[in-house]
Amino acid sequence: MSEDIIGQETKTQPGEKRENISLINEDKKLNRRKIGHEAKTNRWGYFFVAPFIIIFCIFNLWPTLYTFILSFSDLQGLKTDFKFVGFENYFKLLKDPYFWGALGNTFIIWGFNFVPQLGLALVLSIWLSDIRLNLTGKGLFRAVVYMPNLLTAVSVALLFRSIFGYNAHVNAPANQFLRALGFQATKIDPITGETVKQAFEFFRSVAFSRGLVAFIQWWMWYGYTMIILMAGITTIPISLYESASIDGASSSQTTRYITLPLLRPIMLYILVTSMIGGMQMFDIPFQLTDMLGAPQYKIRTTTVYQYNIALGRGSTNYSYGAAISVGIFIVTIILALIIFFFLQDRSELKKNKGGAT
Amino acid sequence: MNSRDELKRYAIHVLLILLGLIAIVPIYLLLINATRTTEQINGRIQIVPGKDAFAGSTSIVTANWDSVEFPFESGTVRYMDLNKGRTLKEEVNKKTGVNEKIVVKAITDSFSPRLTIFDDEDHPMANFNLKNNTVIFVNDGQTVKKGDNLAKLVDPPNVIYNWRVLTGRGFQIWQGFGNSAFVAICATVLSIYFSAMTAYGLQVYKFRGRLLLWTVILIVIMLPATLSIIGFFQFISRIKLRDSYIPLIIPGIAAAGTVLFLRQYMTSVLSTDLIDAARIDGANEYHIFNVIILPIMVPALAAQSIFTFVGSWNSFITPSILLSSEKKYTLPLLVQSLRGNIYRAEYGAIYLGIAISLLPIIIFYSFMSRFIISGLTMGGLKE
Repeated sequence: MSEDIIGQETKTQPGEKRENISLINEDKKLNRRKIGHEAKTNRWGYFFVAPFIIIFCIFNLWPTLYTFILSFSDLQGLKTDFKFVGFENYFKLLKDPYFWGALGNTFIIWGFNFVPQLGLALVLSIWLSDIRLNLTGKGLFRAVVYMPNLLTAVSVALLFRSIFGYNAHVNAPANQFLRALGFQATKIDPITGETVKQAFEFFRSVAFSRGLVAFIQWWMWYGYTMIILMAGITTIPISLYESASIDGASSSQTTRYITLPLLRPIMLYILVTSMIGGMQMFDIPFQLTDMLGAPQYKIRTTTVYQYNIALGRGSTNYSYGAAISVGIFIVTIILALIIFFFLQDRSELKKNKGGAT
Repeated sequence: MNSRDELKRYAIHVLLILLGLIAIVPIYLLLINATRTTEQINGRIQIVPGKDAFAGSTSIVTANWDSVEFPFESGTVRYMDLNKGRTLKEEVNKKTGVNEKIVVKAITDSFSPRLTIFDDEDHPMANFNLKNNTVIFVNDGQTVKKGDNLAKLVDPPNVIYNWRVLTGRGFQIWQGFGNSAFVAICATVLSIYFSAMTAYGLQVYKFRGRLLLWTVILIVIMLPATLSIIGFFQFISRIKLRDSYIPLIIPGIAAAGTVLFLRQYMTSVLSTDLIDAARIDGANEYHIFNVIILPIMVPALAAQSIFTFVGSWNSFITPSILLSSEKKYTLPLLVQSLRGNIYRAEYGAIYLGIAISLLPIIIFYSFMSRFIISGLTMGGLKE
């Protein structure tokens, strides 16, 4: 019951199933009564969807199929002809430590971005929607924290690169700030042997660089997640909260037994879309350091790796790049299935338990 | 409300302010640094310990290395190449013979000051590590007075200087704006119009195969966009459309996410009565869509337009693999060029370039934030 309410009203996700069912029913009806005029009118439908279908087939479907085809070929460099080599690229992919390393980097960065993102967005959306708390400046806050989401990722990456300093630019704003607080790195001067205080070279640190990519992703996305969750909360009928408070439920209890379970489908949606987006993370890790994933290739995400293999400067191994594409796709599907099976079941369990209260 | 709730409320407000600051501080740093000279950005460092008069100034101008004027009252000035144990002056003279045309740029980091000497063509000739109490010279032919380098909030001369550095080295800002605007506007108009058509077709007509189409749309939304990128690149290369805007604009016609958004909105605003009434009046189906349906859809079309426009404006990977001539560069590609060697050590100009690329969005957003945020959830939420 409660899931239906949300399913009807959230942006994309839960309504889909219902939508399909209703379409099937309508189509059945259509077959039953074929009044000539109406059937004629309905043919207009093809006219309206034709541009979409044509462009979709040319620029979306065919390139996707072509990627699959190329992944079985030996296409690289400037030549345009290729021959098929079977699963060679895939065997190579399975044994490629750089691919698995890049996958690991992607997971780590995505995880350190997503967990705080969802956690904070959840807490904030509950607080901001809480009538009893009655926070001031909600609209302004929402507007401010959502703003980074619209900014050009390339510019954002370069901005953070400049703030934390790269190469010689070690006295960048971040270091000035830290120095003002009294934090400096120490280094032993190779000539005199004295200990010299100097600026932090942030981008030499693997942990810092990964952390910064995760931070930027978090910075750009938690506002969006928060707004989606807030929209989800507004769809929960107030009567549920009212009756709960009549029964003497505290605000933490209503959060736990009403808000969180009813937000579960939306959180699942956020998790899946964020995971799909995270698997394609490119602009920030690509632009933040040397476009290859420095330091030590530890912020080289799968898409950065694919780009450097197939589309980067001087490297044009298209067939292997296509295999990496398919590899990323397969991993994404597996993860999506794991998420759905794992979380769907648990939400069913929760719902059954919740039924008693 | 009891005092515990009051405390909680207070704590939450503090957290919100903190998060708001985190959202704004990078932008603030960007704007402030865009109005500074590179020397200021590198820090208002004290070059000679104990002599505050020089704080902030990292450039002393000399017409000739032989007649250096030290604007110090007292204190020792050494400028030694510590690596070689010789004085810098000798080093400079040895390299050039003449010492007029040489430019010395300071990497003014007080922790480990370094000095780079550039020749006329801006190629680095030598690097020096210098100790803390070293004066660094910039022989750029201009006179810099004491105190000139103290940072101001907005310093028009600095902005102008940064602007000149930026645009003088190939950052074709207006061209970039024009290109990005052209691509984004075309893509948005086409995407919105044809997505509205598709959504309308799916919503109103019960034709065979629409269930299939709807399923395809839902699947495509979930597909990673980079899945097809190699095939896309190869396909575009083969039909000789690389370095053209067509592959950046036309694919927008098949925007699955936009169709979904608009269809969801149609479900809530469209009534069959309205369409039937128009049909009785004898209106053609396409005419009905253009004249009656589109005006009703305006709020959703406007909201989605913004997101499509911003998406196209910000997109980097596709233009970066397709566009090769610099004349056609869109803004993100132009911003990427700020990484190049040509802007090395020109941090003021780099910040200004980044700021210029972000300002249109920030300004637009500051006026439209309410509408944009409500547009985020417009497709699926009852108002």
